[in-house]
Amino acid sequence: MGTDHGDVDPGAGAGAGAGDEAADPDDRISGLPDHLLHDILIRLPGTADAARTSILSRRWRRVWAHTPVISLDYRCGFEPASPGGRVPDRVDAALAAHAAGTGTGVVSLSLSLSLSRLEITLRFESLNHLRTDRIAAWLHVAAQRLAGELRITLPFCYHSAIADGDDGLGEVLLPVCERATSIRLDLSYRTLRFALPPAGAGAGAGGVFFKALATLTIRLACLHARDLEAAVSSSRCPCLKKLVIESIRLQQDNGGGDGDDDEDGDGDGGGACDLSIRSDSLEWLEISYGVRDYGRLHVDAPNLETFHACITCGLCVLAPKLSEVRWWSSDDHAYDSSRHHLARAGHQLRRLEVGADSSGLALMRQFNTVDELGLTVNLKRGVEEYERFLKYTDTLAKIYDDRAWLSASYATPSPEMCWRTKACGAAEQQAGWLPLPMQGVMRMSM
Amino acid sequence: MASEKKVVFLRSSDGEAFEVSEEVISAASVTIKGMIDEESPSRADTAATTTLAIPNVTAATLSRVLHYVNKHFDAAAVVGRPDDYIFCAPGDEHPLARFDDDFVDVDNDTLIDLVHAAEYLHIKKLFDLTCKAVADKLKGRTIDQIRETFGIVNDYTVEEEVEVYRENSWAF
Repeated sequence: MGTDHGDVDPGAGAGAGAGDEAADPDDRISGLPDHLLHDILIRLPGTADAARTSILSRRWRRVWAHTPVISLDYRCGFEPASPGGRVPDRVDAALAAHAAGTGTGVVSLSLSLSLSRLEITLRFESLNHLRTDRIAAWLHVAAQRLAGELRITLPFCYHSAIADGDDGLGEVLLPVCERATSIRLDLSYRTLRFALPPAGAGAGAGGVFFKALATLTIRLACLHARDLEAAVSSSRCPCLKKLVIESIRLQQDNGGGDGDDDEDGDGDGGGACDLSIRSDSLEWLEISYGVRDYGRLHVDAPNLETFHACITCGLCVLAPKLSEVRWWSSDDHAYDSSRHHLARAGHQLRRLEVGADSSGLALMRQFNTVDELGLTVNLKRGVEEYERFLKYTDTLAKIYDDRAWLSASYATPSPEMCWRTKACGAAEQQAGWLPLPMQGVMRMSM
Repeated sequence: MASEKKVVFLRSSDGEAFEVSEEVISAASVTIKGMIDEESPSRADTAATTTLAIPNVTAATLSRVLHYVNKHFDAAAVVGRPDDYIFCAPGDEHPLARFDDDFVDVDNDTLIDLVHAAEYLHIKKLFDLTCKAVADKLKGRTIDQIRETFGIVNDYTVEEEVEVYRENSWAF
């Protein structure tokens, strides 16, 4: 405690020594040591709130700039006029001021304080034409200073502008972030490229690019399949445990000219693009394709335990340790055992989560040994609906062979409801207990 | 023999002793767990109870801290919740959320004493809670309001204040 004198800004001459001056005895907060003030400032909504405290008094002038977290959030609606200028300029200024405050100019970035979190959220509509060279400068800070979590959320952008070939809008290049442990990118369908050296050149020097990365989340982005495959491979990303790829669009690999024109019309035909994810360390994979589907998805992950999918394309998962499967079903995303290969027959799951529909039943037949079943139910009021559900539970009871007690409880408009019945065939006797309408997840332990 | 719950006494900086279950306080406070582990070889005689000096924390603060600890770390007192098997409706909150809100609804000095105590005793949940509560008092207030709330004296000259404002204009 209280050993922060080294951090104190000499210019202000206050800091932990505030007590030497005629500090107001009522001002207990300014008397807190710097590290406690940091713990308080990082719990403000954002870094701008923390930086504004610099105006309070000399004691506070540079405290904020020593916090290990930068969180810049310009979230929704229209950009208000601000004396601080346009948002991208404010982001630049914030990053520069933070670096300057730690006493480390651009020259000695490598010596500067490590950041445990860098978070930039830009959602203002006025930023739709944000150029990616601006973003590149921010990502550079992550590459240099971040030893923790990176979260970047970019504003919507117009596809027409990208299709017109304005490179300044379309492509985000993620540099090597050796010390990042978690990266989350939400790019509003900009294209994400990874700054990996060309194949061949990297073979010898090669090297690991995301040494510490355990969690990678990519939302709403266009990706080149080969690019993504290389980036998450065990040689590039040896600690990757959790990969979440949500609503992405795959682009055919850059055989030249990017083939932008295959975007339209050919759907899952000639433009189909296979994706193959291979990782020795991966334990958790969530994947959903946006807009339309592509060629086959291969997953080869010997340590994979959890797999969540929302896809229609062909699927082959090689994962001997698979223990939890969630299948988001809808009319478009039905499970089809002839096209979706998840595991050998008889594979035992700890947990299966499906919708109460035919797709869910198909998965239950595939995995008829589970410890726990999660069933997403959406029942409307009415006798028909109820009878349909009873029929459904009959089928369910047949699959699971009446062998266990099913118990389920769920919150509904009447949360005290708790339904417990021996297998599902007996549900009828409990008819008066079943609340309708009902929406939620029923969890059953087998 | 081991059926009796062991207790320890904590003596505040102003000399008041507080009784607390050894199991509960060990689960809560890394610092006190360390002290107890250090003591234990000399406590072969189970009849003797231990008194630990907590020199940095006053009785007023310590009693508050123990109130929090008993609420949060006593397994018997914590309200069970079958959250594994329930689909939580939005608006559901942790059963202790209300307690926590009331707990930090105190004057600035008391709150800052709690921050210090939570840090010294190394009770992470309490540290998070109290730091967040201080941050909440800074949040959404103008500079003048913050100065007034915490009694902070503005010691900038006018020129300096303009300069600092300019440096941080991006934040306004």
